[in-house]
Amino acid sequence: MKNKKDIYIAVILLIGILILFLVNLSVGDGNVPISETVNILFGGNVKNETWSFIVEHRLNRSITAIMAGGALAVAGLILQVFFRNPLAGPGVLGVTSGASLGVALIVMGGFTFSGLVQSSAIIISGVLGAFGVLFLLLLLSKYVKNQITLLVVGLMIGYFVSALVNILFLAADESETRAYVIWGLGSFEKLSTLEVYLFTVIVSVFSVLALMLSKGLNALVLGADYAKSLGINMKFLRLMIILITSVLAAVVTVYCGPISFIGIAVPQLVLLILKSRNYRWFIPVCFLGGGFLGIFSDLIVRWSDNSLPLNTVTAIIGAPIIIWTIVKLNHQFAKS
Amino acid sequence: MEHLSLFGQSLNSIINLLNLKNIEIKVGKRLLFKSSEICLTNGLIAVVGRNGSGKSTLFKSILKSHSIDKGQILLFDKDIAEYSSAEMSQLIAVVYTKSEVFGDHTVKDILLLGRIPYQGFFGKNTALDLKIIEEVAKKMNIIEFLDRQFAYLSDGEKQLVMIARAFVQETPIILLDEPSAFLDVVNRLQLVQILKDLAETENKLILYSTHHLDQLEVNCEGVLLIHEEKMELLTDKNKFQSSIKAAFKL
Repeated sequence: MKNKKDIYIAVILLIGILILFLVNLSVGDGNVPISETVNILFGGNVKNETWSFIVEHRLNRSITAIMAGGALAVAGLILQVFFRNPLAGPGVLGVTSGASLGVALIVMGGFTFSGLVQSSAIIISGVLGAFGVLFLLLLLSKYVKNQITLLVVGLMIGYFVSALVNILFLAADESETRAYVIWGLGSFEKLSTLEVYLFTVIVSVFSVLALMLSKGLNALVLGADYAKSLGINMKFLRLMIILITSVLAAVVTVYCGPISFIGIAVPQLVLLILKSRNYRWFIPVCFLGGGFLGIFSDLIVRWSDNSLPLNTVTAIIGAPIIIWTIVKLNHQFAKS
Repeated sequence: MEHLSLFGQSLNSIINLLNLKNIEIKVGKRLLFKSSEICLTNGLIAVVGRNGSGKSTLFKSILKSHSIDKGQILLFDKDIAEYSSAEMSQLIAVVYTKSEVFGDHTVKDILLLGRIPYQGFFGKNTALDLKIIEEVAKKMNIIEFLDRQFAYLSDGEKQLVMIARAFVQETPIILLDEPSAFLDVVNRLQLVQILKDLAETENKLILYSTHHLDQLEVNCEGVLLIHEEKMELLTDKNKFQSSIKAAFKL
């Protein structure tokens, strides 16, 4: 079922991302004219060598912002239908904390490898941490049937895992602790070009994999029993859901820090404007919405001369949306 | 062998849609019930039994969510073990007592979910899907609330929609697990009437479990009675009430 309005929404979001992308490349210290920016992007002759350097730096953080926002939004969307809770998201469920623990174990454990190996080791460790938390949550969900309570359990796991990370920091020196605290504030900056490539590939691959779960996620709206009777292999779907959301959430956490609110807020906003309830539309539009919010947040961070932490910006945008979701949710409960 | 033929010897009724062959169903070590061979073709069948007698477990067993201890369950003369879950979803649709939807889906969105067994990887809805849901909605008189939000419907309307969804699935068999448990008297009678009409006009086998014994002989072609660890098929309409009352010592 194609819906013209939904296609417009996707196109508008895409254009919005492109505009913010170009703006983010051009504005800042040493204003680079947009025409030059485009020129550099397409590998044309550069009038000014420093411009080229500036654009590459901004290009990296812009791509990171779009990919990270998209990944978090998709992970949030899937976790929400999986746990049947519009307030679920990688941050709330402790998935991000799990990833943090994985990262901290590698960094604190004194494992230092070079370049790509180090990158991969941290990613794998982060994914394992996130996967571990989700798996634990899935086990507990058999005993905790109430979805709101399960969310609180997720929060507690998150706090517990964060506490473990803090204990690890007893062994860390001052500069390591400082680096960790800054990482915790979240940022799309400081990724090398190689890391941006790796990040983009991982997010793209797992977002496409998420799209392939569309049919199962559609069925899951009716609950696991109905999904099964519609021919969905629930064991496989469960495994894929926790695998994909772990990777998406973990890889963002590894590179950009534990970014809150985007994962919960974007699906709620998309729900408002999108007419289709088919996840084959829902997932891509959420990705675009997340990408838009990601680069928008980065623009604000840069506009403040990098003095506003990313998580402050996402909280200011995201928290009101979440409160609004809760109000709407209570309204719905009261009516039904 | 108890055999139930409802529509003369039309081609359709020669095939056994569902054949419960000397099954024995346990939960853990506790025996729920045994049965001799029961063959079902099409029509509306009520499943009657006391709480915990095994009505839901019977449905679960037919759906392969619970494994039977002895015997065989055949669908179109083939063991259910030989069907993949995708194939099963094109043969049996289900309606549960209470249906909750996650999200602000419209009735139309919910009905479209019934087409999932026929969709590819990405769950694309085709023009045919839309045509089918419109036909079913017309037949069940729910066309006027296709665009309403499912969560805001009354319990009776929700159940109607879920039955329509089961019909959209276009399966020869539909199982309904206590579909009228939360409905008022009027809605309950209407629901059974609709099931009866659909079973007749669409040539389907519809099994529904219930605790309401009134008018069984008017609406149902047979009653699967579970009592004292045995399941039997009652086919003589005149004896439905007396047999059930005798079994329950009423």
